[in-house]
Amino acid sequence: MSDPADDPQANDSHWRAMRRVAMGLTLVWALLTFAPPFFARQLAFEIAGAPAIVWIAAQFGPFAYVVLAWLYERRASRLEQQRGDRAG
Amino acid sequence: MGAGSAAEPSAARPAHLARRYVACALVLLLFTAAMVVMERSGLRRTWIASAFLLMPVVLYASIGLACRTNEAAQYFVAGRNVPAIYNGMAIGADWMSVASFMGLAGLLYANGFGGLAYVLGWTGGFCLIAFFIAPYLRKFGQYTIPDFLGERYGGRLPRAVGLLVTAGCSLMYVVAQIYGIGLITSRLTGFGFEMGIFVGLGGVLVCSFVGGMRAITWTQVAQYLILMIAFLVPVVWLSIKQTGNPVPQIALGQQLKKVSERERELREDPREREVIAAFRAESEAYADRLHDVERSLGDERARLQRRLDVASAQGSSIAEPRAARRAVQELPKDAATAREVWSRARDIDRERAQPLAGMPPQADLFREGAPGGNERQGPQRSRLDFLALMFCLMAGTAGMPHILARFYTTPTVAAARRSVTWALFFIALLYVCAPILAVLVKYEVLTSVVGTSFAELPRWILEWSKSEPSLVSVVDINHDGVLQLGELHITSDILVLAAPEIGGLPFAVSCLVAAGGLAAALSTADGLLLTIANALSHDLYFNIVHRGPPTDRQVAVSKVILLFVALVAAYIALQRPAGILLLVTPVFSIAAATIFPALVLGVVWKRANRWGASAGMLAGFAATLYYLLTRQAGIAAAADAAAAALWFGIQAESAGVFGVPVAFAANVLVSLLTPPRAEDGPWVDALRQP
Repeated sequence: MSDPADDPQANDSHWRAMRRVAMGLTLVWALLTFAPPFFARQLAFEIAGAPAIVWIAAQFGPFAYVVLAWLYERRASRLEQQRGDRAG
Repeated sequence: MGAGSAAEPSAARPAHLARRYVACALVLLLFTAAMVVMERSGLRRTWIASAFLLMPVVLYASIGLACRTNEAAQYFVAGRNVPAIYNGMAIGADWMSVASFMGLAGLLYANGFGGLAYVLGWTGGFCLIAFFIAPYLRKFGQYTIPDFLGERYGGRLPRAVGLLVTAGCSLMYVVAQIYGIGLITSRLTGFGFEMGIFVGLGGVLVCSFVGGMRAITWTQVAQYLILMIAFLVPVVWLSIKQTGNPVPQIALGQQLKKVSERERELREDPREREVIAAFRAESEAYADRLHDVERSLGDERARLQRRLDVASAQGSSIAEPRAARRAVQELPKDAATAREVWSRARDIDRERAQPLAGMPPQADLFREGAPGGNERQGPQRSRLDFLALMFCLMAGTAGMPHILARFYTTPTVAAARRSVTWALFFIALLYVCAPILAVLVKYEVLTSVVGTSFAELPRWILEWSKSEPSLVSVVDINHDGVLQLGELHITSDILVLAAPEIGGLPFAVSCLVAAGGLAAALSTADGLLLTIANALSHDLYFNIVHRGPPTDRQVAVSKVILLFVALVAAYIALQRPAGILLLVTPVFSIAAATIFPALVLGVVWKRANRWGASAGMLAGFAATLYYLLTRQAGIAAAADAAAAALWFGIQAESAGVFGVPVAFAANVLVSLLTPPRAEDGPWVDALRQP
């Protein structure tokens, strides 16, 4: 690995911040993934001709994942920038 | 870090690149439009099909040749200068295989709601890649996935186990791709399936062989555009045709409602019930025969011989004796074959003796009833099974070696993260259209195909049932001269290929879809072959067998291995293994239970060591394989499969749901029981820094 751990404390806090973001978004991801199919029967009411659960699973779900990945990307880049500013 | 060589001219000017690819997409659209017009004015079908086969292959070959290379950094990781958006598109094409392009919509057509587990599972996994894997792999910055395991944990064991899984999973997966290539090429050209495989293989090798990852990446961007256009054109066209608006999402609600209404009608339809009764009678007749195979074989032979004698004596027509003679010849030769043939026929008839040809109503959710028990292989999933499958597909996505290796090719860590978002976006674009295509095609089948008379069957049924009777077949079992839903059999794998014809679109659109399917299959096969060959050459040959070589020999060895692997995969595909998805899903379970835990724990838990990682991978692999082999009908011996009840009603293909926890537990336990390695801590610390 090229860059040595210069300041252990800053390194550690950076990693912890990154982990917090990842874990938080993983929680959202898990809810988004497993809750709607679990409650599918309750979500069987219709919106514009199709059951709500079909809309969620077939249309909103995949794009919600895109949004999650994008949110992570934004947060992580900001954290890295802060880390870079502090270090340098 | 990494070996970033001199800036690649084609990659250095993104604006220039964008213009080129946009032009490529426009040319394809114009070309399709021109073909549609020329078809109306009488251009021969074989010409159209050849044009659609040749044009993309020439494009791929020229990109491949333009990117030929013998440099290791170029060959293995495309020089690490692929901009995030193009890497996203390339990953999209790499990811979207025949299973996504053809299998997914087919499955949604045949299984209804249950198929949505694939839509969610195959997109949601990318979030896990984004959060825990991609940026760290790029930071690590070497070449392969076994590489990461080997360096993170140290020693040869984790690298060797990772290598075994990488090569095994990718090989099974690439066989499915080559099978799809054979299917599509034979459909487009009229060559046999075998010939189709070898023509397709040439298309694969021209890229991966001459230019490695660099050629593959830039070809895959073009392939993504082609497969996306090929999927969208029929969806939008059918949507306009059926509802008058070009936005498929609006059509979804309207058409799903109509499909459900039509399904209710068909369930009550007396003719459909006749068909079901006829199939049930046939299956019972087979079951009767199976009670005493020896005797019924003798009876059957005598009966058919009598029929032949009568037919020959009457001499009224030539066709009748010929049919009778064929029936005598096709009779099983001995009792063992008879048992096999008849029990298969009994099962097929039993399956077809269901309302709606065995398909659950399109808008129905889950199978009712308690989980567990011995009930299996129904097309409809239970809720728990649905969740389990989704979990396996997601974790499997995050452990798929050929996808993960792509994150080595971006210039920076931030670009690796960005390319996950782009990849997911490009993949989601196609995945949200698959359920719509399934509904639109079903509407077409239920309203305009069902009820046509056998004298004037649509052309696609005649052609498919003649060339590939195992994929499409019709039988007028109740002898009323009219096609009922129960009398039409379509293998879900070919639904997308046949969709334009089912919907009555021009033949040129069929060819476009076939070209798209070919792009999907070729791009995935390219990526997979390269992954296997790189793992074998880089990890097995140069890191385990023979250490520290000059890089020019490394590429040469990799190319030789690539050729060999391609031939092995083609040989297996020639044996015509069962349905495409049947092969693909277990691969995800295995990747989920082996690579995924080892990578994630390697990043988030410093204490994980080489013994833990190896034990975790092996235990996960063993647990998954055990459930898979003992529960999968068709793999397990029939008697055993019946004896081994499913756990919680979870199908064999979702075996990873048991394998993943086993793998994590074994990794943690064994790591804690064995001493930590001093290098692990600092190594992981460095990995976690930007």
